[in-house]
Amino acid sequence: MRRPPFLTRILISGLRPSQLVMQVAGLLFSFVLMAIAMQGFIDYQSIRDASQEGIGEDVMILSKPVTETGFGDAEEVFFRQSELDSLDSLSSVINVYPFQRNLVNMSLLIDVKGAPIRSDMFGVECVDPAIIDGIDSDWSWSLSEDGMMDVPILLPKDFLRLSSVLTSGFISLAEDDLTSLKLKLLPSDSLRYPTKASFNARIAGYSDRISAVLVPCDFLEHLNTTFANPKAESDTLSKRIAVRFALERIVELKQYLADHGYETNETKLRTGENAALFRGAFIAVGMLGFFVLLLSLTGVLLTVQLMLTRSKNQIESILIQGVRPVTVLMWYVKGLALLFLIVSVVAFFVVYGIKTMVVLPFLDGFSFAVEGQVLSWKTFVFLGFVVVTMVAVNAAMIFVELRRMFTR
Amino acid sequence: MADIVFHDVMPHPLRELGRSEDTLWHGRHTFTQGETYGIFAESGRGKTTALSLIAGIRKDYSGNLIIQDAPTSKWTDNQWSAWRAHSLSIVPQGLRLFDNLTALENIQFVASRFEGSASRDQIEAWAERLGIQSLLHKKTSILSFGQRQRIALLRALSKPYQWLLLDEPFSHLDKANQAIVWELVLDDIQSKHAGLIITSLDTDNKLIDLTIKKV
Repeated sequence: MRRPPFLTRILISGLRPSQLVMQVAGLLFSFVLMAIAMQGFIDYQSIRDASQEGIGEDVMILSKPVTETGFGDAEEVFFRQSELDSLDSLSSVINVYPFQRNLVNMSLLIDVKGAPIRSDMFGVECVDPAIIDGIDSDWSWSLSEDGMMDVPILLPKDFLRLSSVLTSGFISLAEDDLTSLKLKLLPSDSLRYPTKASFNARIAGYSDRISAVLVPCDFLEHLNTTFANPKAESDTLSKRIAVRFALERIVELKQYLADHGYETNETKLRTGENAALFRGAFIAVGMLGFFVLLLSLTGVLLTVQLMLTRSKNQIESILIQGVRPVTVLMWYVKGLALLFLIVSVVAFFVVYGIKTMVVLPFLDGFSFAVEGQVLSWKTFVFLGFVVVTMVAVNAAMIFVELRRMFTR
Repeated sequence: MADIVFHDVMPHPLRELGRSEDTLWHGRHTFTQGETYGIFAESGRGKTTALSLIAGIRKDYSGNLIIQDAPTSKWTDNQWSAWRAHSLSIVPQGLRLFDNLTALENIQFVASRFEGSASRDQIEAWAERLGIQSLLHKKTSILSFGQRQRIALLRALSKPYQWLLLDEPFSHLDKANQAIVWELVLDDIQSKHAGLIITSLDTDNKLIDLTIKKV
C-alpha cells in the first residue's frame, strides 16, 4: 500500500492561509524571544563566571583627595598600610597594588630632530605589570654591564594631547613620532644641581587605564637606591594605588569610596554600575524568556489542537478510507519537526544579527567583555531540546486525539 | 472468505431507544462474501450504525461482531485500518469527499494506493457510464449532492475490496440514474467476488428489492 497522495492539501484545508501565517509568525516570535533569553542568560553567566577567573573584573586607580589642609601632611597624602588592609578586606576587592614613585628629581629630554626639549620635575612611577595595559614592547629592564640598556616608558594616552596644550602647540607630536624619537631620563639631586646619570629611554606603549608615566620597578628601585636617600617613613608609602575589583560587586566598593573620600575615575564606577545593570537586565530577560517559553509552548500546543479540531472531519474521512492513524501522525510529526527546525534556524539568525549589530558594538564601549562566541552552543542545545520536546509532546497529543476518534 | 457475523450485537444507543426487538439486533446474522444484502428501515433504526460497526468507526455495542472468523472486540487500530484498507470499500451517508480536491483527485486518493486499483481509463469509462465524466476535474465542493454521490461511488469501486458498504447511495438520484448506478455496482461486485451491504430508507424500492436479500 502506497502513501496516500494529497495528504498535505487535505490536512491543511482545515486552516485558512492567514491563520497559518499568524501561527507561524507567533511561533517565530516565541522562538526568537526564547533564543534571546537563553543567550542573555548565558552571557550573564559568562560575566559572572569570568569575575571568578579574572575576566569579569576591572581596575581602578585610587588616590587621596588633594586638599589645602592635607598639603605636606603624610597622613593625608599617602595611603597607610591599615588603609590598604581595609580595602583588601572588601569582598568586591580582588587585589590592591600600591604604586612606587621616584624619590629623586628627574628630567626628561626629548631630541626632536636635533632640538632638545627638556621637561623637569618629571615624576615616574611603577606598579605591578599585571594591571598595566597598553604595553606594546618589552617591559623588562636590568642594569646591563655597560649600564646603557634602554628604559621602557609607558605614557598615559592623553600625555601627547596634554603636552600639546600646555606648550601651546610647541610640542605637538603623534604617537608614532614620539616612539621614534630619542629620549633620555636624567636623575639629579635638585634642579640646581647637574644630572647624576643619563638613561636612554624608549616608549613602550600608551596606557588607557593609568594616568601616570610608568617605568619598570627594577629601574625605579635602581634609581631610588642609587641616587636618592629615603629618610622619612612616608618615602616608602604610596600616593596612589590600583584596585582590581569584581564588576558585579561595584555597589559595595562605590559606597566604601564615598565613605572614605578617595578619588577615582568616575567612568570606572559607571562601568561597574552598568555591569550590575546588565546583570539585572540579563536576569530580567532570562525570566521573561522563561515566561515566554511557557507561553509559546502552550501556544503551540493550542495551535496544534486547533489544527486537529479544524481538520477532524478530514482526518476521519482519511481514516475511513483505510489510511493508518500512524500515517496521519507521522505527517503531523514531520510537518511540525520541519516547521520547528525552520523557525529555530530563522530565530538563530535573528538573534545572531541582534547580537552582532546591536549588543556587541554597545558592549564594546565598556571595559568588560562578554566571553565566548556570538551565539553559545548552549543556546543551540537549548533550542534543540525545546524542538525535540515540542515535537514529542505534540506527537503524544495527536496520537491520543487520533485514538479518540473512533472510540465511541 | 471474509464473512461478517452479528451475534446478538446491540448498539448501546439503540437499546436505550428500545430497538432491541429489531431483526438485526438480536440473534445471529451472517453476511457471506459474494452475496448482496439490503438493510431497509425508516430513520433511527440503526442502518448507518450497522455499517459503522462493520467499518470499526463505532465500538459502542454489546454482543459479538465476528469478521473473518475473529471477534473484533480485541482488534487494534492497525487491524481495523488494515480491514478498512484491504477488505472494505465504503460510501458513507455523508460521502466524506474532500472538498478542496477535484472529483478525480478524490478517487485517486484511494485508487492510487493499492495494487489492482482501477486505472485512469477505467475510472473515466465508469464516469462516462454514470454521465459525470465532465465533472472529474471539478472541485467536489461545487457539485450537487447527486453528483457527489456518484463520485463517492466511483471512489469506492476504484479500489480492490471484499465488501462494499453503501449507505443510502441513491438518496439523491432519480430512477434512471439509480438504475445505471445499480447496474455498475452489480457488475463490479461480481467481478471482484465481493459482498455488498446496502441500506435504504425506501422499503419498497423495486429495483433493489428484486436483486438482493433483505435483512
